[in-house]
Amino acid sequence: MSESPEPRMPDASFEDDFRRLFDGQFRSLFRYLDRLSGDPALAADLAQETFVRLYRRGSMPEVPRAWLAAVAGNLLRDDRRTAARRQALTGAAVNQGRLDDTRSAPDEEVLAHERRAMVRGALDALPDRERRILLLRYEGASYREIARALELTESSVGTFLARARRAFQSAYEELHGAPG
Amino acid sequence: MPPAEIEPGRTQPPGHASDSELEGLIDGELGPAHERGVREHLETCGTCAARHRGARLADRRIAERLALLDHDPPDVHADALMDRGGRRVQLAGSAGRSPIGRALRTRPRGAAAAAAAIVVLALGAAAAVIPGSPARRALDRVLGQGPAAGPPPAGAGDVAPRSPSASGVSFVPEPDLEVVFLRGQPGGEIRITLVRTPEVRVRAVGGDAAYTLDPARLVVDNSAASASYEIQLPGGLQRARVRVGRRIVFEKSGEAVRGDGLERNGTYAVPFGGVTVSPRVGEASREGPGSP
Repeated sequence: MSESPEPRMPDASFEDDFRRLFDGQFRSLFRYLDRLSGDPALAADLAQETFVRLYRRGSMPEVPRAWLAAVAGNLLRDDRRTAARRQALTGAAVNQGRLDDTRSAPDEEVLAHERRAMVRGALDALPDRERRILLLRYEGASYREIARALELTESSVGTFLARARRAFQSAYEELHGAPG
Repeated sequence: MPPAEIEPGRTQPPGHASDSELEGLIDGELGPAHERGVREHLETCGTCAARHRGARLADRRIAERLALLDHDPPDVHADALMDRGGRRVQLAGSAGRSPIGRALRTRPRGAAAAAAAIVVLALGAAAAVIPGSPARRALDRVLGQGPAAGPPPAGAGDVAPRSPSASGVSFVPEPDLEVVFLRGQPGGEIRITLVRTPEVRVRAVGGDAAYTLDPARLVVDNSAASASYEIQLPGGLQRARVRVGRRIVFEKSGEAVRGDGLERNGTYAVPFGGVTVSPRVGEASREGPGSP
């Protein structure tokens, strides 16, 4: 996104706008990052860091929601790269330490866990761009906001979104073993 | 359907609505004329009407499935992030209207903001020990509370200068910190949370309070009898106490924490109710059951 690199001194009016945007968008941004990363602690950190960066910017972007999504998405990408480098250096598998905590859980918990795993798997099966488009749309972002956040043309968003929905459904059904 | 309106996402033969048109219809993203055209087409084309119903059903299912992944968001406030973004001192009321007070309230970022906070704290400390000092008068100007020059009020050397009523205050404390509420209250509570950030943050909820800043002590003139207060204390503080009058209601020493209230999800809630303070400032006693 093309944004002015020069931060400005926040004024009272900006702080009011900042609070309003925070109240309206923080939960949504967290949910977007949580769904995108599958890591709620990381999502919490990155959502907060995104708003800290907005405050330091000192002025409202032209399309605030798109700016938030773009910055948060870049932060997540950077974090992934860092984690991948760390993993390559140490040879440690990120998921090796995860506990299988459903072995003694009640049936409904096991089922819920499996359903979450299928949704996660279907999301992970999408190309990164389609995954982000899909998740932004289900946060209520407009095509214009999605286009600005992901540097697409607005007219192409509908096409990508249709493809993403179809791919998600197919992947889910494949994991589920039946049309869902 | 005019062929020119068919978008590149089409997966259907000519004469039918494209997938992206059906998605755009569901998302409310088609222009009025385009939407009208697609709706008219759906009324006459059973194939597309069925595809549209399928797409709407898929849309609902995807929303439901994605919701399975959700977790509760963190409990964080805009002001806390503004503090992290560089804002160090938040003053309301007349301080916000004085030029220097406004600069303090809005001064952003890093070293400059830290310097501003340190200036306030240093001025407060100096004024506390030097009656009539230029520092005291300068702080009065910063806080918009008094004349720019002239003799200090009687007793000015006994306490640090007071800020006007403010919703909250944030500052970097000494390793040994005391937060003192001057009065007991019939209602409200003090909610204390240990945080990782280096700043102390105190905020009145449901009322204003006046704060007296000092590097090792924050005095809260809690005149709004029903307000509650949120305190964020750096977990790295070696020692911290919260008092209502002279009664210590919360204490942290190293890793050990004890207090009068209940711990809920990492927050210690200390009710004001029952703590009274004698007319002499700082003399507190506990009424009712549990009185020492």
